[in-house]
Amino acid sequence: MNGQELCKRLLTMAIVLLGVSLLTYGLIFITPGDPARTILTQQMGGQIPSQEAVEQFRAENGLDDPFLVQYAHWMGDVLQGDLGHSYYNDRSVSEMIIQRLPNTIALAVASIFVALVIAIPAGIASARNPGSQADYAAQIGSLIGVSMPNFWLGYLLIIVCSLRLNLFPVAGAAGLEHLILPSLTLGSGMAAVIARLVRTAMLDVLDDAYIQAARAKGLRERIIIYKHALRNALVPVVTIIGLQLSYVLNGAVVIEVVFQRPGLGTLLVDAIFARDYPVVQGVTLLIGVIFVLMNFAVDLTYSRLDPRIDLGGDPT
Amino acid sequence: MPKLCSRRELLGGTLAGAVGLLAGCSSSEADADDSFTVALTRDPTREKWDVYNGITPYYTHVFEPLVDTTTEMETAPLLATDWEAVDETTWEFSLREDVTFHNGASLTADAVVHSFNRVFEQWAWVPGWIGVTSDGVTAVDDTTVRFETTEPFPAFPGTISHQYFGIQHPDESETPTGTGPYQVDEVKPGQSIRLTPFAGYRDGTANPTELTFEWIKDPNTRVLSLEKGSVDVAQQIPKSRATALADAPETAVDTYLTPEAGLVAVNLYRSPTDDEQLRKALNWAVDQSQIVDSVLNGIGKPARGPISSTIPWSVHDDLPTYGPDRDRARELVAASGYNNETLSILINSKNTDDRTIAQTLSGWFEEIGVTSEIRQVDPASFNDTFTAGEANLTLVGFGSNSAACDYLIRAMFHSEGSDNRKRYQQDGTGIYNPGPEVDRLIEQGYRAETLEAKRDYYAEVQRRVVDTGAVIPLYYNESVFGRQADVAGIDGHPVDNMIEWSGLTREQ
Repeated sequence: MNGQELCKRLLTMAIVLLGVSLLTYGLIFITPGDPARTILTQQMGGQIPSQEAVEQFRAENGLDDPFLVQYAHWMGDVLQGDLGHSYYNDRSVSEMIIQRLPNTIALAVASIFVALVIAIPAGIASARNPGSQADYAAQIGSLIGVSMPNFWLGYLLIIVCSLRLNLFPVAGAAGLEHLILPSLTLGSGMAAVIARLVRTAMLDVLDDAYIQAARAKGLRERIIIYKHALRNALVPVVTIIGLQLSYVLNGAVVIEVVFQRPGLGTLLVDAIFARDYPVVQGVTLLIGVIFVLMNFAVDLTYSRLDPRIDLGGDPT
Repeated sequence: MPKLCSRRELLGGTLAGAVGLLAGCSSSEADADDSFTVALTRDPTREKWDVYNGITPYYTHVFEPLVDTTTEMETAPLLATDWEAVDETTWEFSLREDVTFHNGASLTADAVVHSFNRVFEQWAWVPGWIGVTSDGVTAVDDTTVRFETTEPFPAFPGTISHQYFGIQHPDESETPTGTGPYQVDEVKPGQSIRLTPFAGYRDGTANPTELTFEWIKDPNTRVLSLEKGSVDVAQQIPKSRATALADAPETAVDTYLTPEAGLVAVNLYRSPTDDEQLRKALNWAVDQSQIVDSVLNGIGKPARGPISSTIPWSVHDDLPTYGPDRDRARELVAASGYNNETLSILINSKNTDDRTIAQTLSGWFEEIGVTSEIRQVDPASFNDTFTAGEANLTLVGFGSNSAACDYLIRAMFHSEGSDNRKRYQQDGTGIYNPGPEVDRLIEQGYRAETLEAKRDYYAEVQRRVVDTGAVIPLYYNESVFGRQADVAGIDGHPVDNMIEWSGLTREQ
C-alpha cells in the first residue's frame, strides 16, 4: 500500500467515524427519555427528583441547547482530545474507558483464541473427511453453538463448572480463572461460525490442482493441509474473524452481565439506559475506531496470506 | 537420546496442569470467620469522586448523616443530639460531642458545614431539593449548625436523613473519611469496596472484621454466587428464586417490608378512564392477594392504598377494600360510559414482575368486558411517556429512602407534583391528581407540625384517591435478602440502603 492509498484510507476512516458519531448522537437525542430525570433518580437512590432539580441539572449540563449546538460542543472537545465527562458522576469518559478497556480486550482476545482453537481443527477434520462421523459431529456441534444463546450457555457453564465441579469462580474479573468461563461462552458461539467457514473453504481448496500436485509429489498430508491448503483457505476466515469482532463486542454485553465483568459493553448499555450522552458517545466512538482499524488490519492480512491480492497500489 | 514424551503428551500434560492450576485458583468460597461479602445490585464505586471519593453513600455506613431514619420511618438523632425550629425558616442542630472521624479528628460544626457545602458545590440542584439556599448552612458555635430554609419546611430534619448528607471530613484526600462504624480499606473501581471496622467508633467496634461490598448486577448471578458460597449476603434476590433458596440447607432468605407501594396510576383525564364508574369497576376486578401470592411468590403485602403501611401517616388499615367482586365490576362497566375502547397499560421494562402483573390485570379486565393492551417502554423513556399522559393505566412503584416521605404524596396526587405537573401546566389537567381540594389537603399536610395533624390531612387524601379510583393499589413491596444459612445478624430496615451490618455473625 502506497502513501496515497494510505491517505485515502485514513480519510475514509475519518468520514466513517464522523458519520457514526453524528448518527449515534442523533439517535440518542431523538429517543424519548430525559437524562436529567433518569440520572437524578439513580443518584438519589430511586427517589423522585423535583422539577426544579431536573431543570437545574439540564441547565448545568447544556441539555437545553439545540441538537447541533450540543453536538458541536462535544465534537469540539473530542478534537482537542477530551471525550467529556459523565453526567452521572462527572468522571472523565476517557478514564472510564481506560478502566474498563483491559477487561474487554482480555475477553475479546481470549474468546477469539478459544474460537480458533475449536474451529480450525474442527473445520479441517470436517473437510478432510466429508460425510464421515467426525464431519457430522462437527456440523451438529456448529449448529448447536450458533443456536445457543450466550446467556443460557453462560449460566449452564456456571452451574456445571462452578457449582457442581467447583472448578471456576462464578463471577468477577480479578484473575485468569475469571476469564475461562466467559471466554468459553463467547468463543464457542464464534467457533461455530468459523468452523463452518473453514470447512467450506478447505473443501474448495482441497479440490484445487496444486493440492493434487502436492499429493502426487509425495508430500506428507500434514504438510499439504497445514502449509498449503490452510493458508489459502484462511482468506475468507480472516474476513469473518474481523467481522466477528462485532459479535465479541455485542456478545460481551451479555457475558459481562452474566459473569459480572465490568467492561465496555456494560458501560455502554448502562449509559444508554441512563441517557448519559457523553459516555455513550465516547464508547461508540472507540468501538467505531476499533472496527475501522480492525477492518484495515484484515485488509493488510489479505496481502500477507495471498500476495496476489493488491490493496490498490500501483495498477501496473 | 530416548524421547521423554511425545509432543501430544507434553501438550496434554501442560493443558491438564493449567486446568488444575486454575481450578486451584477458584478460591471464591465463603469468607472465613468474621469477614463477610455482600452482593449489591449497584456499583458501590460509581459515585461522584469529588463528593464521596468515589464510594457510594448507601449501604456502607462509612458516612453518617445528622439525622437517622428509624425502622418506623421516623426521624431520630444520629450525629445530632437534637434539633429545634428557631423560627419558621431556621433550624438549629446540636451535635454529639463524642464523635470522631476515621482520621481521629473530632466532629465539629465547621466540618458539618463544609460537608454540606461540598455536596452543594458539586450538585447545584441539591439546595433546592432540601429547601435551603446554597449558603444557608452555617456554624453557630463548635457544636451547633444552623440551616436557613427558603420557606417554612417542617419536614426538613427528615430530608437531611437521606444518606446523601452523610458527614465527611473536610480533608478532601483520596480516602473517604466519615464517622461511621466502617472505614475504607480498599476500592476496586467498578467492582467492590472493602471496609474494616472503625476501632474508635463511639458505640463500640462492629463485629465483622472485614466487610466487602461487591457489585453483581445480574440477579441470577447473585443467586448463583450465593449458592456457590462466594458471597455471604445477596441483595434483591428475584422473588421467584426465594423459595428455592429458603428450602436449600446452605442458604436462607429474609424479607423486609419497604416503604414502596406498587400501584396502577389511573389517568383521570384520558378517555375512557375519565369515567369514575369505569375506574371503580377496574378496582373491583382486581385481587391484590392473588397478585402477591401468584406473581410475587407470596413476598409483599396486598395493598389497600397508595402509601406503604411502613410510612407513619399511611392509613392502610382504615381504607376500604374494593373486592374482588367481578360481578359487581361488570355491573359498573355496564353502568359506565365505556364503549369497547381499548385501555392502554404502560409498564417499565426494568420491572420484570410488572409484565406478569400487567398480563394478570389485563386478563381480569377482559373478564369484566374491558379490553386492554400492554405497552412496555425502557426505563429512561418511562417517566416521559407516563407524565405525557399517553396511557390510561400505568404501573408505578413509589417509595422513600429517607424519613422524608411527604414528597411521595405530593409527587403523585398534587397537580404540581412531578407526575402531574407537565399536563397540568399544558392544559390544566394532569394524570392522577383529583383536583384543587386534594391539592389543598396535601399542602396543609406538608405544613403540619405534628404527625397527628399530618396524618389527618394525608389520610383524607388517601381516602379520596381510593374512593375516586384514581389508583388501583396492588402491593406493598418487600425487599428480599438471600444469605448463607450460618450468617445471622442482618438488622433489617425498611430502606435497604440503610440496613446495618455491624451485628453480622457466623453461627457455628
